[in-house]
Amino acid sequence: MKTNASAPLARLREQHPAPRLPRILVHCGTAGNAMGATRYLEELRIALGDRSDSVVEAASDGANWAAPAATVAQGTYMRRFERLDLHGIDDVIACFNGDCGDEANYAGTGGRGLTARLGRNDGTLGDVLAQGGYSALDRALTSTPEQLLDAIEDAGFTGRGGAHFPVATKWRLAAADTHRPRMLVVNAEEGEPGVFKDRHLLEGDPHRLIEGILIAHYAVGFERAYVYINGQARTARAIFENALADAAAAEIFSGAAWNQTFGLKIHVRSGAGGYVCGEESVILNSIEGERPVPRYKPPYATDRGLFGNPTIINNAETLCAITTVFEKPPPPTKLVSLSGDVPRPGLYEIPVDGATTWTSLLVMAGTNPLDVQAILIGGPSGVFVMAEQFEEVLEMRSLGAGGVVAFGSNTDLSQITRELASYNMRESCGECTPCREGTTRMVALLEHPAEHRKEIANLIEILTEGSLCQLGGMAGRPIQSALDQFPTAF
Amino acid sequence: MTNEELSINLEAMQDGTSGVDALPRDKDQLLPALLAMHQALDWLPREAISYVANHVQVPLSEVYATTTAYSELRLEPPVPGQWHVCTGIACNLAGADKLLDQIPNTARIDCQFLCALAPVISDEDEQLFGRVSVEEFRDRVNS
Repeated sequence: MKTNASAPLARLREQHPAPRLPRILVHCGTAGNAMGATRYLEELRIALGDRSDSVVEAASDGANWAAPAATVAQGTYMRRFERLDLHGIDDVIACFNGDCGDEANYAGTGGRGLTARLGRNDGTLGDVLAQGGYSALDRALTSTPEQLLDAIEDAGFTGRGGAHFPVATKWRLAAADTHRPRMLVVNAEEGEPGVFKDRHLLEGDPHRLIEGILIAHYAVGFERAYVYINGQARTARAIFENALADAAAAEIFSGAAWNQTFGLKIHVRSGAGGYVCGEESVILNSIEGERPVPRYKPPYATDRGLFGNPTIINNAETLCAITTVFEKPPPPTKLVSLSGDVPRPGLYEIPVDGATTWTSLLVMAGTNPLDVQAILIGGPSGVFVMAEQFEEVLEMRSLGAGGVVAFGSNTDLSQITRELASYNMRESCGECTPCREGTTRMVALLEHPAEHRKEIANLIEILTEGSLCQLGGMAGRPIQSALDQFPTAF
Repeated sequence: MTNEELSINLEAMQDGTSGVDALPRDKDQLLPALLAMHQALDWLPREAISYVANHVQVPLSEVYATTTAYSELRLEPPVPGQWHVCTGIACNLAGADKLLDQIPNTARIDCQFLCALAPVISDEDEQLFGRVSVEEFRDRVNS
């Protein structure tokens, strides 16, 4: 990706040189810090004495199971050292000094895709530029917006938030409306229990999101962009805002580095909790200072969205993925947040190439698929996939937002189903009757489901057809799935 | 409430009001203003909500309606010394209930999005700790 850089990009790289190698990246961030990673950052700095500058703080690379961990980077060679709490730092120091042992040990996808730089950069612009940052934007600027939209369309990019609407189609809807100011809303609310991908992207590679936003801006021409970040993801917000300041100082954000004027104003907003806040129109209300409840549709956001203007709402992962559009071929991957009964839970970028199955994902996570009785995809709006379906090939639309929980053989799945129903009841915003009353009634009916089969089926239909937004609309999904997959458990 | 506590609150309130004053007086600043207050005070007393309502020029009733719709905005002060145990799906699978049962002065909290490090707890300052055993939790609370 570093080849064929334009003169402006080469100049940026000159002004922001790559860091010196070898170095040790300690995986901190929210996940690392929850496992005491900062302690090892300090220990390594003390141990290296006058070379302590070579120990740098990086974010999680997604391998949460390995935390606390550190990666030694020697040129293109990288070696991750896992569970420093169990193994100590001696091997890390030996590797830094040139003795890395035999094992080339990196479980990440490496080099390609949207996690290519995750946890492998220290957050400085020089490091990110050296690893290919802003080269997709650089390339996009050599084509016309129309050509860029064609490239995105040809590569088949779809939204990664769950609905998988074609990106180019959505962007064209707003691009066509040249008479009114257009708005971009970046959905990094990520309030679905079990999903933690956007936090990783924002903490580990914030410049990729900025690059994606600028590419979208070049294609569509926005007046303003709002980045709406989950209220609890304070570290992610702070890191993203620092990166934004760096991109502004380097005249990347203004476009001046390419002798252009992008003219995009950007605002960062925090949410304050609530599953429903991940719903697109709820975010619009939240930004406008209205009560965070869904809006009636139509009008759709592309026609009358934020402050009444044509608005594109894209998931943070979607915009990050767009930066891979010029990779040959663009990798059809999806981020999966995997948790539950597996030895290696964490964030995985998995190929959605027609060959990957649930079995391959579970094997990647270090488990024997026979030990897993079922997985839940999509949390409280999701479905169960049972062991006999693990050989099914993964498709983008079957992955939703990518939240996957694995259940071992001891888990009571009927209890999980009840928990999901209770969660939907608590999180219902109360704006529409089917969801407000229906989710409450569902919890009651699930106390004695065998006696209420018909009522449950009716209620699922009411929720699905009558709810104002997808929280209610999909609240019946896990129940239906449970009744289809393991009816005898109730 | 002792004088000392009162003075701390007043100081926090002052931080909150200056945070709010730094924002434009527009309706779209309602949530940022509430968050500025919440960050300073750890919760939203009536006075703070009134101040925000006045600043962004939105009726108090409407501000209350909005405030109560966000699960992370507290309308009561946090319980001193209270730890939280995440009760998301993965944390429940990993034994969140056992932590809640065995450690006193703990409360449930919804998914903290560290599912791959379950079970997860958080202290008074909302610092998260992952893969926590009952023993480790007890040590942390007592230290």
